[in-house]
Formats: sequence, C-alpha cells, structure tokens
Amino acid sequence: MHARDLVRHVDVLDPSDLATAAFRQIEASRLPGVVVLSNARHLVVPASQVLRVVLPRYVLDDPALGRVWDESSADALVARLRSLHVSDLLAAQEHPGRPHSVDGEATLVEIAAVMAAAHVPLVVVIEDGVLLGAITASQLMAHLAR
Amino acid sequence: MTGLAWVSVAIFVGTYVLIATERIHRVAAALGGAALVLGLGILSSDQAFYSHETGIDWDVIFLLLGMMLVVAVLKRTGVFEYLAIRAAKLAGGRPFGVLVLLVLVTAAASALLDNVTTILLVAPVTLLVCDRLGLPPVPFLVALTLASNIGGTATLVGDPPNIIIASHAGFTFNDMLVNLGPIVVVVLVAFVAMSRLLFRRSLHGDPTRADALLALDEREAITDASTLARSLVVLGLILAGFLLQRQTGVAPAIVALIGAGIMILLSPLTARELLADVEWETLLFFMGLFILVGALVQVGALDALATGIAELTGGDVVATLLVVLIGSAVISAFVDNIPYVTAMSPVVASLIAANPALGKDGALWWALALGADLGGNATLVGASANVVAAGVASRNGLLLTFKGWLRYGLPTAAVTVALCIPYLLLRYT
Repeated sequence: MHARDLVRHVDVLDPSDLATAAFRQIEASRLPGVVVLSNARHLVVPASQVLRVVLPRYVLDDPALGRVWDESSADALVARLRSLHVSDLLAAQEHPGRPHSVDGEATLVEIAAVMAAAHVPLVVVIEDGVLLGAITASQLMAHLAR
Repeated sequence: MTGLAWVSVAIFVGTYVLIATERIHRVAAALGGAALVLGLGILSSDQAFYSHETGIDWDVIFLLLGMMLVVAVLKRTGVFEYLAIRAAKLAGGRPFGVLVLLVLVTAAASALLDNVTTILLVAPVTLLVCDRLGLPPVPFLVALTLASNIGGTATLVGDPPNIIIASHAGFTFNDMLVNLGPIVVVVLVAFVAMSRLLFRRSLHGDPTRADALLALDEREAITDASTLARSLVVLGLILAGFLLQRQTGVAPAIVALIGAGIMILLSPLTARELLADVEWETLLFFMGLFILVGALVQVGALDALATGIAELTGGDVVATLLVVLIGSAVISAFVDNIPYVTAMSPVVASLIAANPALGKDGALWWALALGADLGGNATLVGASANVVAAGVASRNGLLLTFKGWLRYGLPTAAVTVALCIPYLLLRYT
C-alpha cells in the first residue's frame, strides 16, 4: 500500500483567502485541517491550530477562563476570524518548517513519520509536482490496524 | 584588600554584569561565577555548603521550594480567577472601580505568593476583563504589576528579597509584617489615589459593555472545589505556622515544606506534575549568588564596602537610613533586586555590627527591604514581575515598552519610596 492508493480529494486555499474560508472548509469537508499553497509549497494547517487563532491568547494561557466564558459571547470569538487571513493561520503554526507532504510512492510508515514529526493530522500527496490529494491520520490508522 | 579579595570582586562584578546585561542566561552566569570562586579555592566546600555566614542559605532555598509547591496546587484550583472576576463584577464594570478592586486583590495575593506567580495568575483574567469592558489592557497590566510589587513588600514570603533579609537578620514572619505591613498599607492607599491620575486616560470604557462582564460566571473558574477547600485549610495552617513562629520555634522554611508535603498528599495531581511547576532555575540562581556573595564575605570585601558607607554617612543613623533606602531604590530600578539584596545583606549586617544604633528595631533592614522592593517598580527591568508582565503583553499582541512602563512606574516608585522616608525616620530614629 502506497500513499497514492489512499488519497482523497482536498481543496487548496491561498494565503490571501479569509481565515473564515478555512473554518468553513473544515466544517464542510470534515477533514482535520486545511491545505494551503504558499510559496509553491503545500502546507497543512490543523483544525486545532485554526481554533488556536480563534481563542484569545489569555484563554490559552489560563484554560480556566474558558470555563467562565458565557455561550452568547462564545459566538463573538468566531468573529475574530473575519479580520484574519489564511496567512495569519500559517504564521501562528506551532511547528513550522517541517514538510507536510509525501511522494505517491511513500509507504504507510513513511506517511506516519511525516505526520508525527510535523504534528499534523493530514499529509499532502504530491507526484511529479502534481497534487494528488491528502491522507488523514484516521485513514492511515485504519490501514495500519489491518 | 588582598589580591584574592580583588579577584573575588572581579568575579562578582563580572558575573553581575552578565546577569544585568543578560548576555548569557542568569543561571549560567551565577553558577559559572560560583564555580570560579570554588575552583580558585576562595571558598572551601564547608564554607560554601555548611556555613551560615558564607554558604548557601538553605532556609531561603527550602522556603522558596515549599511555597512554589503550595502555589502549584493552589493555582490549579481556579481560586485566583474566581477572586479577580468576582472583584471586577463587584465594581459593576466601572473602570476605576475595577482597577481599584483588582489592585487590592493583586496586592493581597502578592503578600502570600511571590510577585511573578501573582502576575502570571492575574494577567490572563485582567486581559479578559479589559476585553469585555473595551478597556486598554496594558495600563491595567502595569497597575497590577506595580500593586504586586507593593503588596509583596509587606510579608516575609511576598518577595524573595524579604526572604533573604529575614533569613540573614533572623526576623520572623510577624517581625516583617509588623514593620513593613503598616507602611505598605499607606503606600497602597497612596498608589490607589495616584492611579486615578496616572491611568486617567485608560479609564474610559464603554458603559454598555458592563453586561458582558457581568455575564461571566466566576464560579465556573473553580475547577475542583474539594481540592480548593482542602488547600485553603492547609494554606491557613501554613499562615498560622508563620504567625506563631516565635511561640513554636519552627522556622518558615520548615512550615512551608510541611505544608507543601501535605498539599501534595491531598492533591489529585501527581508529585511529578507538581514538581514540574517548581522554578528550579530560580533555586539554582539563588545558590550561585549565595556562593558568590559568600566569597566576598570570606575575603572581607563587603566589610570594606560597609566601612566606605559608614565613612560616607559619618555613622549618622538618619543619613545611613536614607543612603540605604534611596540607594537601594535607585539600584533596584535597574538591577534585579534578588542579587542586589543578596550582596547588600552582609553589608547591612556589618554596618549594624559597627554601629548598633542602626539596628534599633531592625531600622536599616527595613530601609533595605523597602528600597529594594519598591524601587523595582521604577523601570521595566527593575523587577522580575515587570519583565513577566511585558512577556504576557507581548504574547497577547500588546506592546509594553520601557518608555511606556516608565510613565507609570517612575512616579509610583518615587512617591512610594518618598513615603517610606518619614515612616523610617518617625518610627525608628
């Protein structure tokens, strides 16, 4: 089993897209992240990192403050995304620099290694410079468990 | 002074320059300096590890360790978030009322916890409150940090320099509270009054947003009510242990360690999780400093400095008090007050030994504590809590500059240190 046998379709975002597009895409595709084409590189922004940008930093510093947050004001958090772009999500990445893509020939273990090293729940599969699609961690685990 | 004395002074000055300029990590600088004085044989292992005069002050190290463990349990209960939100809601969302109540909560918390921990606990909740009320958060962060440095001055455990002074001079928790507490209350009242003027441009929020603050449910901040209840009982016992030191003869370090042990046993968290919260770097930093200063004591360099100060003031009590108070404030505005007080404590002890009138009711020690603790408010680099507040601001996309700090910190330090002058002169001379 190789990477090209596992790929599923994924839409690609541009850094200039609004961050709300990433939010909507994750919601609609049920993928655990989004793929962004930035400087000719395909990068993955995990859904958790999109949420990280939604939350004020002081809530990340002190999770107890998340508990005191009332539901009506929680809606206002998403409004923060309207002023941000996908490039802001890339800039807020916790583990930048690691590759988020594999070749179509990559084995399951190779895919797992890229996911684990880059802390992403999704990797992009590229063959001859063409994007074939993406593989999620849950897909990978299902095949590893067989 | 002998050649060895000059070598010790050179190592000491070099290390302090490295610490002040942050060219290398402060722990590396302190331990490197300590390694040099030990390697050169200026101090023996007995003198470095077992001597009360020249060695590591284990009372200070273990008191800090015990209190760090106590805080590690307490901070996870959400009690500080609860108190801060409750205080802000009590003020009805009125900006000045919110500022005053947060200042008072911070100062009170800081009397029991070290200032850096206090700021790390109150800063996130302050940002939340300001966010809800549409207030600029930076002035509030500065106000609470200033309040933390003021509140910490009141007690033995409130600020690390006080722990060093108490250990060196043999003061109990009550000695510190009775002598520093009254002036800290005066200083805090003055600071609250000043705040109206200092922060006047930042006290204009949107009155319609008060409802957003009142919608916060502070009870939800309490993560574990039963651990909180048990922790508060243990904290009460620790406080009782501090207050009854004279009667029980049990040193604060022992009280804190016993309290920490009980806290760990009662906490649902593992010892490994709690030990991860101990600031081992700070403890190692202290150990390095104690060895460095011990070397100066051993070679007689600090006695020479004490003699110089005595000559400068002519042995006059008032002049010496003023030199130590104001000199400490000015130096602490630019140099971390922990290494400063570590170095100055033997000097103050020498001055008192030479002229017992200076030690009447501990006068010169209080001048050192007040100058070093309150002087740190003047600049952004004057106290560790200030630097931590700037870091919190930066992480939240806010800018807290040296100049921005100076606008609030310098007047606060000047007024608060000035208030200490009549207090010291009227009470101790």
